Amino acid sequence: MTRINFLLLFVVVLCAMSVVRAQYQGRRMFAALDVAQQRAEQLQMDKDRLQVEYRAMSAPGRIERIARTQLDMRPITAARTIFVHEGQATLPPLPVMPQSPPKPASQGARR
Amino acid sequence: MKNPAMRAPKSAASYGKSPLLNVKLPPGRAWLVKGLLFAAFAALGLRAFWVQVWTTQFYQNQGDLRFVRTIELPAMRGRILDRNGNILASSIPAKTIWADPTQVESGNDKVQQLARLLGLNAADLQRRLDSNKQFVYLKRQVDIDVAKEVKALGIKGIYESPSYKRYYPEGSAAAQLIGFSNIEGQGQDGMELALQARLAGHPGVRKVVKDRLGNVIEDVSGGVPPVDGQDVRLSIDSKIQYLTYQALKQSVEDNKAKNGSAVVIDAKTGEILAMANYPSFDPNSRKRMTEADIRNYAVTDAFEPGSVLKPITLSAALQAGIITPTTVFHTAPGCQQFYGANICDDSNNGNIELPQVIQYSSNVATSQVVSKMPAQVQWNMYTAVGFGQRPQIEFPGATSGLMRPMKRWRPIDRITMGFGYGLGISTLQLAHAYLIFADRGRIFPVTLFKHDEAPEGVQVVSPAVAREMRGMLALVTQPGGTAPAAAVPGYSTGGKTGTAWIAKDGKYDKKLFRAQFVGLAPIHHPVLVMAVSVDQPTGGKHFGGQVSAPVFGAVVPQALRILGVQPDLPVKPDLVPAQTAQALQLPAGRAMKGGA
Repeated sequence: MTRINFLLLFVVVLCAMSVVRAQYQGRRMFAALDVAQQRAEQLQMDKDRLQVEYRAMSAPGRIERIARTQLDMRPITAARTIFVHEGQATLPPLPVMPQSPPKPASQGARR
Repeated sequence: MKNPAMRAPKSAASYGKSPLLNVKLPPGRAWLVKGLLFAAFAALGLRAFWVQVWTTQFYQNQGDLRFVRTIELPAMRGRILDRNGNILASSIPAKTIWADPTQVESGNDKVQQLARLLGLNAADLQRRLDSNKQFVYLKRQVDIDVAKEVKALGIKGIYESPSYKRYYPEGSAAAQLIGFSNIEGQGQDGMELALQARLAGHPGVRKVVKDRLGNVIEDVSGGVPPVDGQDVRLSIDSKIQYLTYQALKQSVEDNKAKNGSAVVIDAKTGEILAMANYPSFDPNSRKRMTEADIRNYAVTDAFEPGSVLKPITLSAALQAGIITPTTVFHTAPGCQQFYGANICDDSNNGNIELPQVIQYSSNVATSQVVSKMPAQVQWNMYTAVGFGQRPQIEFPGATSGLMRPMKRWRPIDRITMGFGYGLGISTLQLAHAYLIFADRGRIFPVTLFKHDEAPEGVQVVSPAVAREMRGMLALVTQPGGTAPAAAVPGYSTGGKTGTAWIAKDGKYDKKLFRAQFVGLAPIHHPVLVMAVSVDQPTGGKHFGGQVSAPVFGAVVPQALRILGVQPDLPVKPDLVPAQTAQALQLPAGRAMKGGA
């Protein structure tokens, strides 16, 4: 009888310790989850911020200013546009380019 | 006989020698002690019941107060997007920098650096840090990068907490339309105000248990998750918006005008593609913003439209069969009396047919038409195109314009209304009214939101009348019309100019003008309708054809290209490769200029 009692006592102590351990583990994992969630939120906010920055970089006003001042570009007109229709099998023939343009000049023009 | 009480100690001698133990006590006393002990235990039991069962909630709350922390979870304000999903307004994370002056101990140079970083006056900052409060805001909505530098200074007692800042990538181009929100995230003007309920969302709270290191170790029930605000997609096209703003700005500045507004509407759906105003402000830094800058003139201000109203009036007469496109009007000598008022044209146009009435903008011929037209026909047309009614758009302060009820019209009022005096409409209402010429004579409600499918529309004039009117409007932008500046290469256009006097102190000031142009393009299959209105140009030019039509001419070809509309007029190709070939023979530096 006494032996069984001791065995049970041992089992109870074991259970009690594993409960404490499980609770500790649980809390640690919860804290880790919380940190991960906060990081996810932070990354989401960064993504939003970067999207806005990307948009600010691609705002029509900025593009136009750079195109005009730094790249010496001019607005497109109908006279310089080839319209391609959806489903059109072949593209209209491109205007003939001069053969093998000299390299330095072509790079200069592209810049 | 001996007393038995005297004998007892002898018999109890084995219990001990102390006489006290041998004292015989009254039995009631023992019961009293036992009873008191029992009562004490009972009191303990009751107390335990009271604490554990009866008032358990109170004690649990008290416990929570000592362990559970409530974390505020702010709701992210929704974004405002254009029709293609480009951001027009968005919240970005920022920091609030605050201080606990009782903890701050720092040298003057650090305070100087802090003031410089935050853009504050150093002396003022020092004064705030010397106060004996425990909390002072130093600056709110500080950029994340700046906040990092502030933190790097390492001043004790300076703290930061998270917040949001509203950012508007379009800047001043759509400022009045989008509006802005204040530091607390409440919409103050424009769409930010109109859509406050949808954009705002609801903040939430989270209840947690924290350990001594400040880590969250357990979620406690009773939290409310935050609900982020919804994103809203407008019908605006940000590229067309920008083009419209730039062209309008140019015109208002060149002509030294008081202000200007322009509206571009999709002719097939009634969606507003652009709505621009000038003067404007930068919604991202509103320090120098004035009342006049905030105003969305296109929607909030009604004005007498002048000649741009003639096509509306004449189409009512055409629809009612009162005139035909070949009706001849005798306008010589250029002035005519109507109900005691002398109505004049700019010049003597002689005998003209209906198309020329529009092309030359004849007041006399229009008055002749109105005098033959029943008032009901005129009234029905004006109300059908939305005059005197608030446009069905969610914009704060949209004006309904001014139109008197029909039974209060005097005969002369009908005549002057026929060519746009005696009633008031906004630029938006003007563009909206011209929808009847665009799509087979139907009109749609205007909207600032993107449609999923084209609306039904209401038939106002027959498709034939709409077609005839378009043919007449096309004459206006051709040589000989009043607005050749609205002609654009590659696309057919049509429209009507208006140069209206401005009423001041009860009479018309013949030196103050409002220059208007409203047009459609491509005129034979309209894709967009655009109205431009410039108030009080004083730079030498004042006609609608000189001041407002060039705005139309600058925006329309670009807008049509953006919308993927093919030119309907033959154009002489002016392609880049041909030029490049020529340019290649030039030195590289000069090839740049000659090329694209």
